[in-house]
Amino acid sequence: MIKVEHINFSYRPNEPVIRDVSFTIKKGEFVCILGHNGSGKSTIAKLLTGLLSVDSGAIYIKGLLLNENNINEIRQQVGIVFQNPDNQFVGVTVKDDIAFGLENRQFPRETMLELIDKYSKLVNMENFLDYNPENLSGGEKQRVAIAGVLAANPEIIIFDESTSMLDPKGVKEVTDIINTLKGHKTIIAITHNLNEAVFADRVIVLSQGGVILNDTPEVVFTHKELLKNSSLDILESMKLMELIEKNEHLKNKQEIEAMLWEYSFQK
Amino acid sequence: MGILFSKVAFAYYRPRKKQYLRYILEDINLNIAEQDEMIAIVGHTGSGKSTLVQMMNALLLPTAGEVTLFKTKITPTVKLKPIRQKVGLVFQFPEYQIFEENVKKEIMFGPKNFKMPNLEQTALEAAQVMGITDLLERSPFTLSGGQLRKVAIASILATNPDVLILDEPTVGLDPLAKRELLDFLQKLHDDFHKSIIIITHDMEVVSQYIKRVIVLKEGKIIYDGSKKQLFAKDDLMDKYNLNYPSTVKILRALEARFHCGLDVNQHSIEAAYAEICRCFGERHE
Repeated sequence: MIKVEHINFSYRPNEPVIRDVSFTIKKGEFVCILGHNGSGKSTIAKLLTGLLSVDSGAIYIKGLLLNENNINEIRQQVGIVFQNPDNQFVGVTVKDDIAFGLENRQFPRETMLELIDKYSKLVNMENFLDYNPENLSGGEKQRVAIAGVLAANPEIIIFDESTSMLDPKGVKEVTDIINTLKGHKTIIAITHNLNEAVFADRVIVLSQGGVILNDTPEVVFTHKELLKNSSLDILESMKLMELIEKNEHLKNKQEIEAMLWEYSFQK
Repeated sequence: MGILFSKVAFAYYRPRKKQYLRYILEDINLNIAEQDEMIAIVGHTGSGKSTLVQMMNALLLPTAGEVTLFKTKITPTVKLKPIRQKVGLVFQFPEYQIFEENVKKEIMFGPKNFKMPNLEQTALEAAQVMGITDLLERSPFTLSGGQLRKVAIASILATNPDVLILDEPTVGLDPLAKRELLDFLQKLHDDFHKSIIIITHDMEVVSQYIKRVIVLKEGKIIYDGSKKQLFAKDDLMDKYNLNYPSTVKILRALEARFHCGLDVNQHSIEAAYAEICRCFGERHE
């Protein structure tokens, strides 16, 4: 679905932000891109959606080399939900907002209404259609934004730190929706929240603009030193495991370890 | 006496209809010392947290009740500048409000406004504590989000407030940047006895750094006390809409499995580990 080959990018000369990054993402996969502030995570999202173009290397989306000629075609395949729920509203009502992307594509009115109905239900916002987005909570706003993106029916959806500004309830609302999309869409979630990465099929860890790990969450989180040295962290439960591993005198040691391991990756 | 609220309520006024909108805060009674406090204000989106802290440096005036800041009762006519110098408020996403052409001027803006002496020196010192001296000549446009956050906090620190209030300071920061910022606030509190007030959703922040927690719900204070007592509650999730910190969650899961009498209310990995050792004891062969 997505193939990234040796891409490089810099905003200013001699200060590369993305260095020789390569990865592939299969159809229906849920991949988490994890990295510290300034690691190049969001830049990758912008490159994948053609908001920025690579200095060298190639990005293929559905086998198509991303370039200026097919950018519009490719953008129809890639939806993006941004970090700040307040920065992505155009409509006066929730309904208008979900319809915005559809209007651009000149869908007939009936189809539009059907789609609004379908996707507002999918994100549990069907009772808020006539609300002004301003009066919604952060989590509700993000759900509307997701419905708007889904209505345009892209195959790939990028969540660029979409939960980082929400309260715990909002985070749960949005992650629940992401989980229902799992398998149906190709999902890229950009984050530095480890607890979110646990839900992914695969985690790509970026540091200083390069890929340092690319594996399942279970494997990635065992590279504790590497994560710590990349300004990231490890799961609290794994910190506890580290201490317990060293203690040879604990009763039920193996059971506790097994339980903590299971606890860390419960989805 | 630092910050005193007595039966305070707040509602926005709608001048055209000559009426108040619904109350955002009601019946708020608070006493925050001018030194040595380490407080978290938690609560749902829309529970009134940001409104509450804006009253703490008189950006908003109470609709009813009395707010007394550093012995000055807040009225529409009172001089606010001296109060604002005592209570520094860092807004959420402070990086959006940076406007000077370089970092040094940005940090000097506050002190200049308060007519403090030695502007350059003050700016340099604030930059030093935040570890951004190498950025002083840079334009804000060239900085990353994390760097901008530090600049914004440095510019408040430069005015040397007694009470420092930060609205969601760690949102959007990576784990290292978050820890650095919180460790630094802890140091301000420990070494200079500053009162620190943080609005946060992050229970890890609360459990690792905070002493006192104020929980707001629908404009009212529903809890004001130690974090230990708060996290000992069983109805935290339902009644207070709060999560347990991860150490408590992990220990609860262990306790549910082993029924070994763990005291689950531990707030650091070390404390949680010590509790596990106490419970599962050392195997004496």
